[in-house]
Amino acid sequence: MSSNPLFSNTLGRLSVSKEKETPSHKKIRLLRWLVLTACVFLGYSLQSVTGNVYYSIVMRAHGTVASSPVVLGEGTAGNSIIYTNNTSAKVWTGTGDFNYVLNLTESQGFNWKVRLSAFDQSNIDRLYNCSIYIYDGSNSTQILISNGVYSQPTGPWYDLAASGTDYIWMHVETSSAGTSYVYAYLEILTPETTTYARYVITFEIL
Amino acid sequence: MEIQKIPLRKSIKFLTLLLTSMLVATASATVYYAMLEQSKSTVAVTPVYFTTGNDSSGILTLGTNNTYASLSLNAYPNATLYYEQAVNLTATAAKEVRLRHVSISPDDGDQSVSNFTSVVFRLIKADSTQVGTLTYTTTGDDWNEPTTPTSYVAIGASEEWTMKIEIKAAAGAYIGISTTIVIAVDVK
Repeated sequence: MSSNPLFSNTLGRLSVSKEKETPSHKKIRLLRWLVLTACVFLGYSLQSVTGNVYYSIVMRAHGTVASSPVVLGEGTAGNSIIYTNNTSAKVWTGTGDFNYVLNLTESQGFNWKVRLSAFDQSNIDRLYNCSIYIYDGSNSTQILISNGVYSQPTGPWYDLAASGTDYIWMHVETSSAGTSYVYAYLEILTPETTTYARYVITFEIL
Repeated sequence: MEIQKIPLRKSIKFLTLLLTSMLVATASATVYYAMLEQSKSTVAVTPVYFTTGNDSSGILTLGTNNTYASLSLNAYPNATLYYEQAVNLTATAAKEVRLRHVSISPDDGDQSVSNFTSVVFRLIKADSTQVGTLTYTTTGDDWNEPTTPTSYVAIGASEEWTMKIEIKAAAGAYIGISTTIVIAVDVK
């Protein structure tokens, strides 16, 4: 160990304890702690400034519960149930033609476009031919399942006139006994926009 | 000068002065930052600002310098309404942006909260990639707000992104009940 008090002091407290502590030792030790504190303080200050360099633009979204523009109604073929607010439904059919299983009526005096889009299914292998149409004077094939697979999961947009009514009807052929489910959205598009609503319709096919 | 000759008291005073000056400098920096925030609304062109999207007609009002956007949305009971392009974000310089929840009303505990099921804000890039989502759902009369901002994402100069909004009211919701959500788009 060096006998130089300054050198000994830099090596740590144990070394210092072996030497006689002079006033300069005390000053150096005090200065060392003060400089260290200043560095920590400076580092903290710089960090705070760096973390806040951004600006914000603000968006306010005001949402209001409104009546749905299209309401679902029960059909005259098969069985159907319309759920709360007439914005979702379930349909049961067997095989054959079901004209019609649901109707949709415009309720706000505006023109809309509608279509069906399948988003899920179960046990559709047995569906030899399941065709779901929207009808209002002319047929629009919306969902088509042939030999157990979708040949058309989403239909084209179809006009629903102000205060008008469109109808959903089905043709079903099966290759075996069982129960199949097709889950579909009825999508209602505001014309000239990409704003649309989705109602959930469940088709249960025996 | 020998170090022993430096008076200890003077050293302490000097360092105290140094620390105090640093504190003043730090405080000054913070105040300066705050002044920048205040002055942003008077800047003629900000590098990122709101613009109209395909679905903005009739629902969007833009504020001065397009740094504020006010949207008026419908929510249908037991059905989800999608505004694919409620409002757009346009950049004139390369920046990074994120979405941050600011406030929502009515507050938790208000009975009208349960009239809503969910409100979702999706930030969509020009190539249709989704880069940020803020999701609000309800549990009874309470909101489940997003607790953290989305991550910062780089937006290029001349790019135009969009905000998609999905809103759903509860089955049996009362017509006319409303909610207001304030979101910040942070830009750095």
